[in-house]
Amino acid sequence: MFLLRKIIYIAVIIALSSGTITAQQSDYQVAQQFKQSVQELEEQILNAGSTQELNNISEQLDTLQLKYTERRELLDHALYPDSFSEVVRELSREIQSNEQKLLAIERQREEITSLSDKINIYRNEIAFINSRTDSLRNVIAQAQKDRKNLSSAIVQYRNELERRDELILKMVDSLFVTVNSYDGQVYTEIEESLRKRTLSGQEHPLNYLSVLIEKNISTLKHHQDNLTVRDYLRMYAVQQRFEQVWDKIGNDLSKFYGEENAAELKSTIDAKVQDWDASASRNMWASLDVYLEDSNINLPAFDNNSSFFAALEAFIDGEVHSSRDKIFKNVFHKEFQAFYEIWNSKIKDDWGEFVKDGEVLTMNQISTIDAEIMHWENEVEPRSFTIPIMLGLSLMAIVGLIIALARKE
Amino acid sequence: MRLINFILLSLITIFVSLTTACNKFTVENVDYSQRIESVLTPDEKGIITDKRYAISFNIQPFKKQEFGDSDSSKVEELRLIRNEDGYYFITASAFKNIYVMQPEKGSLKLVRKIKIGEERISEPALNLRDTTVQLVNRDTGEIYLLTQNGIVEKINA
Repeated sequence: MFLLRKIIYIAVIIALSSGTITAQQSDYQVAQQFKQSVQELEEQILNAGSTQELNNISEQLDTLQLKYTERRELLDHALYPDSFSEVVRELSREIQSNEQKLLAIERQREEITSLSDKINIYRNEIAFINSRTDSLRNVIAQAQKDRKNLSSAIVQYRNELERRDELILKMVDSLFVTVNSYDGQVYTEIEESLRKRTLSGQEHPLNYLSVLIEKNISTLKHHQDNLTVRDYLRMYAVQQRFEQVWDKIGNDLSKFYGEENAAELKSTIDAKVQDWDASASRNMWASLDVYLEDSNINLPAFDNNSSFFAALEAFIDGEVHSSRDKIFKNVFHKEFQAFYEIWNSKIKDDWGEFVKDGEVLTMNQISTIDAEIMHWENEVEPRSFTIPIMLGLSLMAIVGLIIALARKE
Repeated sequence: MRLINFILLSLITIFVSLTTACNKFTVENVDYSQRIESVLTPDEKGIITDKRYAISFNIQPFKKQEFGDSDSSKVEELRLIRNEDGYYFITASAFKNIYVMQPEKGSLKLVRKIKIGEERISEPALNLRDTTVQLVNRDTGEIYLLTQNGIVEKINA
């Protein structure tokens, strides 16, 4: 059936084409019409928005080739220095090349749709968590006197914030993976219409990112007595991760979704990211400082990675220096133990993931502090006086014995 | 003495003639045909230029022939084709004639003015068919087979 239809189709084309050309009678006109058809096909290839359209164009090219084959010699003259076969081959190459590009675009469009779906899911979940954290904050504010309720609300609130941060990280990673996979050449050729077909209005991820950053800044700027150092470290690590990803994909993402306002949108989000960074950083360093002070570890002032590392080194140096040449080191050893406990169980263990992710301390810095702590431990190790006392007592006993023996004689 | 001079002069003449004969030769069976007509638009001075076939001239003499001195008819496009023997066949829309021109040094010389009819041809086209030039009246579908000597055959639509 299909074969029969194909045969009829070809027969009709041949009948039509030969009739058309014979009726023309002007060679010049035949050549002009061929050139016109080629130009129209070129435009269609350029404007094709799907591989289906290109398949149709390919069929049109077959028809054109069939229609003009008998005038090949004439067209070779008319198209000089090109030739009929070269023109047909070139069109065919253009179709193939555009088909490759369109396939890549279609694949990326699917990725964008999938990304958009993912973002929507994250957005809904984050919105749900936001509404819960808002209401929990109200509960905390109202339940200041009821300790039991207050403590459970605070735990719930912190858990919700943690979940929200996890979702933000997942969303940011999805954006990074998808945008990073865009092929540069194809990327520039993605038509505006394709973007609009996939993403419009509320689905616009950049708008959502902007809202998300504002929400985070608001959470950080809101007076938060109930959050722990760990919470602030996590928020800081999330911000740092977001900023890293934004630095890498911000330009592409803005170009892609921002269309003609790309630069403006990029600089708006840049400013918000900076604001977020400042708030997250300020809160995190302040909470760390307060925690250490409360634990009787008085470090010099710090508000960034290098000053924190320098403060830790200065503190350990000071402690080592103070304990040196002291005979009784119990006090110093207790101070060492207090610091050692915080360093190991808090900074390296409980907060370790965020300390590393947010580069509160780098791995090298942690190793350096570890080495210095070992040196400090050696300095403050309490010394045992049992052996000297025993030796002294033995000596005294011997001397006493000698004196007693001498008197007896 | 006179005889010697005569012999010398004769020898020189024979030598020069032989040398000249060796430098002159003719290539036979040259095909000048242009496979497809050129359709050329004159510039504001009336000059048409065919870059592909490397010819350029002013169309005013043709216009004058067709429309006379006072006529201000504009020739939008001039159509020309060259047959195997190297003659140019020139016409344009609203011409009554086909001009058969022979190229000469720096000029085109009219060989024959082929009158097609009393009516002006509004949409002429020139095709090359073997040894003849085909004039197509695209309005009526009439076809004329031409050589530099005139109409060979008329084929009605």
